[in-house]
Amino acid sequence: MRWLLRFIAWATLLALPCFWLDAAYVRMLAGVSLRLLGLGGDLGRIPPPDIPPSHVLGVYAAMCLASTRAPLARRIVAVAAGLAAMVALEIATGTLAMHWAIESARAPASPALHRLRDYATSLPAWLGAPAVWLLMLGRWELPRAARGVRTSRGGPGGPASPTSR
Amino acid sequence: MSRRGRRSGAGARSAVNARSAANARSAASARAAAPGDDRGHVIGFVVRLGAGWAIATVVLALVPQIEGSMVAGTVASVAAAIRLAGMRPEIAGNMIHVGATGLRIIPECTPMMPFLMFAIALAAHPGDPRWKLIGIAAGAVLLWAFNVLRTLALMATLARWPNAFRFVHVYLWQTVTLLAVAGLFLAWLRFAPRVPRAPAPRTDAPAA
Repeated sequence: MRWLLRFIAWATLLALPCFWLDAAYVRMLAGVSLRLLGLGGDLGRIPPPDIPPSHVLGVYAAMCLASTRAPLARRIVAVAAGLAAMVALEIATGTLAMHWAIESARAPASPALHRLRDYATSLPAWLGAPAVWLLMLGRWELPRAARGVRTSRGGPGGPASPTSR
Repeated sequence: MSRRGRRSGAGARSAVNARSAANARSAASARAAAPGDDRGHVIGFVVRLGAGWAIATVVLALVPQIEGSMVAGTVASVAAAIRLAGMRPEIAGNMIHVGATGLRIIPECTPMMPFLMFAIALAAHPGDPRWKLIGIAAGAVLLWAFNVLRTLALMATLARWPNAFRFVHVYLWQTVTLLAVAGLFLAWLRFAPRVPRAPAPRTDAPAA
């Protein structure tokens, strides 16, 4: 429960800078994707994603900063490496989305394939932050109730078990 | 103190020391053994989570009716909640109007993705299958109710503070939605029935 409170506090704190940085960050992502595809063009004409990528970064950073069971050094590494991984993931999915959009303009894809591509490219927005957080800090933070070694609080932020440090 | 007394005291101390050393060795071996075990547990969970998402994505792409029925269900639930509050909403397709305020419900406005995230996490995590089914059913109801409240709050924001709508919609409610999913997942784990550990193999058992 304390982990959730810390998470909401950090996420609230980080929401404003993420909101302010959003337009610049989306322009940067679009610019890199266009360059990777060897295209030029007006960045302003590219529609922004439904869930702003800067928000996903803020949520990820908040998850890491709330994870006090992990050693401090590990948390710092998780924030730095995880944010870099999330930016790379956004660039990869953005580039893929643009490539598919260009391909569909040339030869329209079937509705099912179009939906599949839509879901695949929206995946980082939903799964990116929790998956990278689990990979980076899950070792310390994932409750182990289901393995029969339940911690006294059964959730992130509870007292560290002897195996956690 | 007699020599014998001192000796027996020393004996007791050495027994305590021996026990402490044994405990320390056992804790140290547990510490040494656990990280790899934890890493494997987490990586396995993330891999199953990814596989679950891949399957769900293919199913959603092949059966668009799921998305359509989620949108229709969300519109109907929100309209029913508005009627309960004594107002008269007007429904036009996936648009809900209350007075001058109109909100369009798109698939991202439904609890489909948060529910999928929650259900796949439960399915991917080791645990009792019955407890998983209970968790998924309870999560479906709670996330649906949460989404109706979220939509009503967004309509109120749009009516009273239209300039703040984008920030509240995207930054506040997306975070709260993730928080709700994480909270439900942690609550499910917190109240999970204890899974008995497999008994350690007997060292005095005869060899086969």
